[in-house]
Amino acid sequence: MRAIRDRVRLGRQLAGRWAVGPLAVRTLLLLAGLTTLGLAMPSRLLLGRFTVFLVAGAVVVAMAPRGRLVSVLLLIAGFGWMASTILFDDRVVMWRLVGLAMAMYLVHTLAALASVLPYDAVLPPGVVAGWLLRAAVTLVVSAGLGIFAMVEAPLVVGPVYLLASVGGVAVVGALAWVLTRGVRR
Amino acid sequence: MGTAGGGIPPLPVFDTADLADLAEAAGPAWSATKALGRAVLVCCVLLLAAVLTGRYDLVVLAVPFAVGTAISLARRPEEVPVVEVAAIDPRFPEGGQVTAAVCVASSDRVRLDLVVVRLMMARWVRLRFGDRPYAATVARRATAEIPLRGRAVRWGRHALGPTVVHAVASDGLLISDALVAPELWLKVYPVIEPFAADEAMPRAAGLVGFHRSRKPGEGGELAGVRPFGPGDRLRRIDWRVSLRSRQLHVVSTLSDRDAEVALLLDVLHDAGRSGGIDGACSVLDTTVRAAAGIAEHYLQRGDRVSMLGNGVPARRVRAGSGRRQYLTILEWLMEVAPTGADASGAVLNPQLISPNALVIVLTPLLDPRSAQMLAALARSGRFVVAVDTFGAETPARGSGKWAEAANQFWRLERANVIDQLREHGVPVVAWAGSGSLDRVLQDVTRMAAAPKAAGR
Repeated sequence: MRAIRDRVRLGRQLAGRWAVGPLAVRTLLLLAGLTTLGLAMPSRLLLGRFTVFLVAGAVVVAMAPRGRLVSVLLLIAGFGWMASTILFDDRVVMWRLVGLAMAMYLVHTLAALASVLPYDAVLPPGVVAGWLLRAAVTLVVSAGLGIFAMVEAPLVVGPVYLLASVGGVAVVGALAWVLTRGVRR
Repeated sequence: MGTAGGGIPPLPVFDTADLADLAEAAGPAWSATKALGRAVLVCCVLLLAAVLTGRYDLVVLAVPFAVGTAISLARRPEEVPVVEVAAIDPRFPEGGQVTAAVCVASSDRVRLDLVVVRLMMARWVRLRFGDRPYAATVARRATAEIPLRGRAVRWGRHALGPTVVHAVASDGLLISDALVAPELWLKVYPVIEPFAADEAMPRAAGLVGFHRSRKPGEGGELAGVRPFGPGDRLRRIDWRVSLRSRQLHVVSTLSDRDAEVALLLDVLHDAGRSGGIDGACSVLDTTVRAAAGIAEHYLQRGDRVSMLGNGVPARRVRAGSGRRQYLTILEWLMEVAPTGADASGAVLNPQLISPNALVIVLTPLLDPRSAQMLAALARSGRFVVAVDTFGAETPARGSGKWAEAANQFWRLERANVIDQLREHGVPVVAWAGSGSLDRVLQDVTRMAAAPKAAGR
């Protein structure tokens, strides 16, 4: 009983220390997580009991952005998108696809910010604004590339499918190597 | 200086442990965060799924991760910033404003997206944002200053820091090792309690000074008019009296003399809970502030003031006068701390104090050794005044059934000790600020002027 009381007191103290800036970042992360799951999951599942799990997942990610749950949420979103378009016959709509890609990246970059930002930090507004501005640049470039890929890809893929697959795997490997090389010393 | 064989000396061979030590000695560096691993993982999994299933839309989902990571890592820093805590002036009185800043200087070509600054601080330093961490950005080849504003609410030396900084770059994909800046020491001078005393001084020492003596001599204080005698200076002739009496008369004056005041601080124990400049005073607070006030008063009058502590080891400021001595005493007072109950040999040697000095002992009389010390000083012929720094509002200890009775017994015993000291010729007065010693000083002066019944 005493341990519970101590935990309650500790929780109150922690709650009293929350600062506005980090709370705003976590709120944005929560909204991005909800948007990601909302766009990724099949529309028929969104109206049922399944919604509670999705909201709970987004809340947990917003509360604990340092763990592996962010990766899990992003992968669930990716496979949820595949499930909705393959198993539930949802149509691949451009706005939904691009919106999902943007929301997934926002989850990733806001989780990166929230994980290094203490919950009680004194945060000037320029820090978050600059962070979101850089994310916006990335999203604009990515949206352009994504739309181009969706429009142009069906024209070149077909007879050369096997070749494209092998080349794609090679590109994946090369990309992973390039990305990880950047941090090796 | 060549080698023994005259050839090229062999190159040192490092194993991996040596290289790790060298890397550690090279200082902090950058390392990848979980976000970088996440970006690579999600991107690769989506691309692999796209290749295996032939779905172009999965490539679209993977593109932001690839593009974002590439753009972020293109802005990869190579050097870690330098951190320092600085203040315009780290010296100020109690309750004064702290104006310091944490400076994070980056010489890198890329901007640091975020620096998180955490600093430890002493209990008596109250910053505007408390002990919260601070976040900021650092532009390329620039210095970010994070202002630290607040108050220092109690005298003493207080540490601001050490400061630990983590720098974040490449949109959270890279984070630096902990950058540590040493603490900045703030010197907080005690606020001087108002104090003023009568001119009476039991035994003046030098030939010049502020205090009038009882001996005639060259001074400014008028003693009377007397007939001219051999050795009198012509400028001392009082022409008005001389014309009236038709005989030369001179104005006689009393000589001006200085005195030495020895302030003895009983720092064996502290009692009460200090609330800083805005709250209640502990015994040590009263002692230090009163000592500063008394020292300032006598130094302003041109006297020599020395200061001693009866702790272990005994600390002392030699007698001196002037502004420099006052600053030395303030610095000395900042280091005052209770010595503890186990300071077994903490009885002051009376030989350390000049025989002519007026000894003002600031003591809470909580320890029998304090009363022994006062008695020893009185026996050695010093003019001793005990100032009781144990305030009436100091809370009683204990909360049990018998606590009140025990406290009453303890107070009775203490009052008994004070009465015994008075019987032995040691006046004990409670500290009450301005003018609290006047009456006692007059008594001591009268006692000093009285003829002695027997030699000491």
